[in-house]
Amino acid sequence: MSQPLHPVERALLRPFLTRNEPGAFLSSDDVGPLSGLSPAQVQMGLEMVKSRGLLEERLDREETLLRPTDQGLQALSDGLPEEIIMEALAGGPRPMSDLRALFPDPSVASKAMGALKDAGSLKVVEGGQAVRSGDLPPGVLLLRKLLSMSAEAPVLLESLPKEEQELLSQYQRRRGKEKGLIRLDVKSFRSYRLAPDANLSLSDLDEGGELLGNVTPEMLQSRSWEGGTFRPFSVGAEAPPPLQGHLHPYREFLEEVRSHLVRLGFAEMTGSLVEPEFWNMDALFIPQTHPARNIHDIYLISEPRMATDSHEWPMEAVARTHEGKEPPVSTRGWRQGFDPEQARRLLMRSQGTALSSRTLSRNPDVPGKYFAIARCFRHDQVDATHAVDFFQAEGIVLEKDASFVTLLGLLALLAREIAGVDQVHYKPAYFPFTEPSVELHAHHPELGWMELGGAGLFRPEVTRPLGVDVPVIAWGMGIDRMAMFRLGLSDIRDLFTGDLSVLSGMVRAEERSWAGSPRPSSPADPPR
Amino acid sequence: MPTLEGHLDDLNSLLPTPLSPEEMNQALDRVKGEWKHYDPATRRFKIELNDTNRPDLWSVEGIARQLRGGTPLPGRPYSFLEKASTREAGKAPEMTVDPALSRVRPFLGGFRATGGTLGEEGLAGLIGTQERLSELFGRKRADLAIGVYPLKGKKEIVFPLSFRLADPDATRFVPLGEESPRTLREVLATHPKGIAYGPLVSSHPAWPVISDANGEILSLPPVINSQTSGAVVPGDRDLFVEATGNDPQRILLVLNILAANLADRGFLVEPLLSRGAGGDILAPSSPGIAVFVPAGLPARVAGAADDPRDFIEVLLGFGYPAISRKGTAPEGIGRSSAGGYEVLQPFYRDDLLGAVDVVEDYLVARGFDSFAPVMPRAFTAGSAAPRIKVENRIRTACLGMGFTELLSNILTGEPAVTTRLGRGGEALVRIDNPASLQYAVVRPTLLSGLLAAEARSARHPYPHRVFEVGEAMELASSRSGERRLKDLHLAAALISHPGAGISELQGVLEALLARFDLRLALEPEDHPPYIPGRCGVLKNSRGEGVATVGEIHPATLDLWGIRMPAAAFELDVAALLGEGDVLGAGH
Repeated sequence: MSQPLHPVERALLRPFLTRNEPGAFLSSDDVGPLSGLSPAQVQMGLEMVKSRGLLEERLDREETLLRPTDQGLQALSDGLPEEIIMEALAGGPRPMSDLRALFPDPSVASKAMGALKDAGSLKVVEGGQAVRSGDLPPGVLLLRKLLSMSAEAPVLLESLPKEEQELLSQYQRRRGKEKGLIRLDVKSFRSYRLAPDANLSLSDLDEGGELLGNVTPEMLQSRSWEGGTFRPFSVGAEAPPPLQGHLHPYREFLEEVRSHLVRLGFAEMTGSLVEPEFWNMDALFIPQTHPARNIHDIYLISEPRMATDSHEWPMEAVARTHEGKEPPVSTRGWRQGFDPEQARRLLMRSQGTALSSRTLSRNPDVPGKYFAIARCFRHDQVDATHAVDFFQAEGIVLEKDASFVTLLGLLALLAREIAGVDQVHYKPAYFPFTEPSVELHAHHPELGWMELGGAGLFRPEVTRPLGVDVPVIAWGMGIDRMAMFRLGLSDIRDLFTGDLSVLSGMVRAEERSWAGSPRPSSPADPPR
Repeated sequence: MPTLEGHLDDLNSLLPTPLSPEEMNQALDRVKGEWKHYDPATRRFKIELNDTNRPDLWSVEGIARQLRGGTPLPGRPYSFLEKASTREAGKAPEMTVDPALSRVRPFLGGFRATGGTLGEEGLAGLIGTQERLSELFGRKRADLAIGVYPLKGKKEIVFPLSFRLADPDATRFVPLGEESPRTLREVLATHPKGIAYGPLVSSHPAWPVISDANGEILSLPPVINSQTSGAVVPGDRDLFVEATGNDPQRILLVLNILAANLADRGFLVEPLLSRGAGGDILAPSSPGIAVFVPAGLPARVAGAADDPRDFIEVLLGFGYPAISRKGTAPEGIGRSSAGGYEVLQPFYRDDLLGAVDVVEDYLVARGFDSFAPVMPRAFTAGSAAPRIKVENRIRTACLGMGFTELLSNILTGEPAVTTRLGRGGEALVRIDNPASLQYAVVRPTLLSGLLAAEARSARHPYPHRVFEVGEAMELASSRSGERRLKDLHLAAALISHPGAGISELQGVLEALLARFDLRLALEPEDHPPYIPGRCGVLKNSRGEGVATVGEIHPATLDLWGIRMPAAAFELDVAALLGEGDVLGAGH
C-alpha cells in the first residue's frame, strides 16, 4: 500500500471486514453507526477509500422531495395567480387590463390567463373582457394541495399517484432552481462493498499499529510516541492564511525617509497644524501680495482668526525687511506696506518651511541640520494628483561655510540616500525665500527624469530678521510621488484610503518592490 | 506660474542663431523656463516660466532677449532710453492725471511706438503679454492694467491726453467689440470685461477715463478700451501703449518691458511724460537702480576662496548694462567699507532686491553644471522627534496585537465628526474658506476615519482590527472663556467581527498602556458613539479623561452603513504622557 491508512479509513473499512457476509453491500446510512464515524467523516472516508479502489459503489434508488420555494410560500398565503384572477372574475366580466393591474409583474398575469384559457376556465369575449367559463383547473388545485402539504413537511414525489406526478411536472422546477413555486430535491441512496481485488484483511487495518497524529503534552508525558509512526501530513496542500496586522505602507515609507535623514545628521522639527501667516509666509519673505497667499490657495481658520502670541515674534524686523525701510539687512525689500494683522491671520500650514522659519528664530545650533516630515494643506481641487492634505519632507542646514556648491553636494547626497538615484541635474529655479534657488531633477530608472525637489540658500532677508548670521541651505522634497511609485498607486488619494482591500494591494506592491531593492550587504565583506 | 505659448520660428527669428527644440529646452534653464509642450508638426510650444518676479521673461521677446544676453537686435537699438534721458526739461507733458484720481487710480504712464508691423503672430503675442502682465503682475488689473491703441485708428489720437474722472451716467463711449455708445454704468453692467473688472472702480462715485485733446474717450481703465480709438488690428504700424495703476515703479517697469518688446519687433519707441499729483512718469526710461555687491560675497556664495575672475564679464554677457568696481561703496544699498561691485539693473527688470540676486544671475549665466558639488562635512547628531518615538512605540505595539494601520486625511466633513458620531460641533476647528464641504473641518478625533474605513471594507475578510496614530485639533476654552486652538495627538483602534466587544478592546488598551508602564483603571462613563453602559473612560492622575473605550452604538453603525458589531478606543497620547511640550508652540 502506497500510503498508510488514515484512522478514518481504518474505522470505515473495519465493518466491511468484520461482517458475516464479506461480499454483501452495506448502505451508506449503515456505515456510520457501524464504524462510529460522524456523517461528515463517513463522507470523507468513503471518498478516500474509493480513490484507493478498495470499495465498490452501487446506486440503490433515488428519492425526490418536494419543498415550497419562497415564492411558493408567498403564493400559499396570497393566492396563486390563477386563483387571484378567477376570484376577481367571480363578480362578472372584467377588462384584461384590470386583471393585469392586479399584479406588479404583468407577465405573471399574462401567463396565468394563458393557462386558464388553455384549461377552459376563462374566455375572452367582445371588447377585451375576460369572463369565467369553468372552474379552476385541476393542476392549480393540486398545486395548492401540494404547497400546503410540503409546507408542513417535505413530500416524497414517488409517493404521489401517477396522474398527480405528471400534472406536477408542468409546474415544477428542476432541482436547486429557486424560480417556480415548488423545488424538487433529489436524494440518492448508495451501497458499498469491498472491491473484489482489494485484497484487504483485518490485519492490514492494524499494520504498523495506531498512527500518531499531532504531538500532545500527554504523548510527551507518557512517552507513548516511542516506537510509533507519525501520520504523514500532506505538506503541499494550501494552508489557511494567518490573521496578520500591517503597518501602513506609506507611513513605513515616511519612516524610511525619516531614518535616512536622522542617519545623515538631521534633527526632527515638529509643530502645530495651524500656523499664522507670519511663520508660514512673512518670515519667509513671501510678499503679502503674493498669489500663493490668496484665499484660493490656503485654508484659513474661522475661529480663532488671529494668533495671540505675536508679541513674541520678530514682527518689526520682518516688517522693515518687507517694506525695505531701515531693514536689518541690505535689501530693497518688496517696497510695499506690511500689515501686521495679516501676519497674525491663522491658516492650515501650507508648507513645512513654516517649521524651518520657527526653528531659525529659536537660536538654532551652528553647525546644525534640521528636518520635518510635515502634513501640509493646499486649497486644490482634490483629484488623482492633488490630495487635500499631504506630507512634505524638508530641511535646513546651518553652516558657516554653506554655499551654492555644498547645496549641490547635499542635494546629490539626498537624491542618493533617500531616492536611491545617482544621476541628477540641477536647474535654476525661483522661490521667494531662497537665492540662489535650484530645482533637483533626478533620473529614475523607470520613470525617467523627474523633479525630486526644490532647494536654495535662504535669502538674507529670511535669516537676518530671525537672528541668524550664517548661510542656511533649505531644501524640500516631493515624497508623495516617490511613495506612489513604490506602492504601485496612480491616485494620490489612495495614500489615505480607508479601503482595507486597497491597503492590502499597497502592502503587496511594497513586498514586490523588495525584490528590486538592493540587498543589504555587510560592511565587513572582504573586497573582491 | 505664467505659461507662454508661441511659435518656435518666431522665437528663433529674435535670436542670432536659431536653436533646435532640444537646444531650446537646454537654453530655457537660463530663463528658469520649462518646455511643457512642443508639437513638431505645427512647431508651436508651451513654456512654463517659474520666475514670478521677472515679468520681462513672460513673452517671446523677453525670453529671446535674455538668451541674447540682454542686447538689442541689430538695427533695432533701445534708443528710447537715450531719448528719455535727454528729454528737454521744460517740454510740456503729453499726459496729465487729474489729482482727483489719487484715491481711485493715481498713476498713468505711456509711450508711442511707430513704424513697425505686428502681423497676426505679433498682435496675438502682444495681447498675450498684456494679459499676463495685467493678470499676474498687476494682480488681475487691481494694481496695474495695460491698454494698447492704434494712433491712427478710426479717429486719430490727438495729444495731450488727460486721465480724469467722469460721471458714470453722463459719459458715453462705444466699448470694444460693440457698435453703439453706452454710458460707463451700462458698460460695467453689460460688457463681459465690465462685469469682470467693473468691481475695481464701481464703488467710486466717478470713474476713470482716458480722453484725448479732442475729448474723445480712449478707454475706461482698467476695464475696457473704446471701439472707436482702441481697437488694434494686425496691420497697425503706429501704436500708443499705456498703463494705469497704484504703483509708479510697476507702471514704469511694464512700460519698459513693452517698449523693449516693440523695439525688438522693429518699432521706434518714443517716451512720453505723464504728470500728476503723485509725480511724473517718463516711460520708457531707465530708473538707474544700482545694487551694491560687496567684495567676497560672490566667493562666499559660490563656495570659492576668491571672487570669480569672470564675475563682471559673465554678468555683462547676461544683460547687465554696467558694473563698476568700487574701492569703497557709495551711499545706498549694501554700503560697506571693503569695496565691491556696483551693478546697474537692466531697465526691463526690477527683481534685484539685494546682492544675492546678482550673484545668482552669475551662477545661472555660468550654468549650474559648471560647478562641482561639494559634500557637506560638518558633523551633526540626528534625531527623530520625541512625538514620533512615542508614535512608533504605539504602532509596533498595535502591530504585535494584529492590528493594521490606517492613515486618513486631517481635513474632513463636519457630519463625519458630529452627527455620525452622535457628538456636537462646539469644539470644532472650522475652515473659513473650504474648497468642499467634504473637507471643511479639522478632525478632532480619529474614530471617524476608522469608521469610514470600516464602512468601505465590508468585503474584506473579517475580523478587522485597525488603528491610527496622528494629529488632530480642537478648540479649548481657557479659564477666561477665550477659545484657543489645541493640537491633539491621538491614537485610536477599532475592531469589527461578529463577537466584537468592549472586553477585547479593553485588553488591547491595557496592553498598550503597559508599553508605557501605565496602569489606569477604567471608570464607567457614557460617551458617544459608544453604547451607554457599555463604555468607559480612563483618567490620569489629574482626573482628566485620557481615553474612552466602548462598543459602537448600533445607531452609529447604521449611519455609517456598517453591518458588523464594532468596538473602539481612542487615546489622548499627549495628555497621557504629558507631552504637551513636544507638540509645538501654542497659539
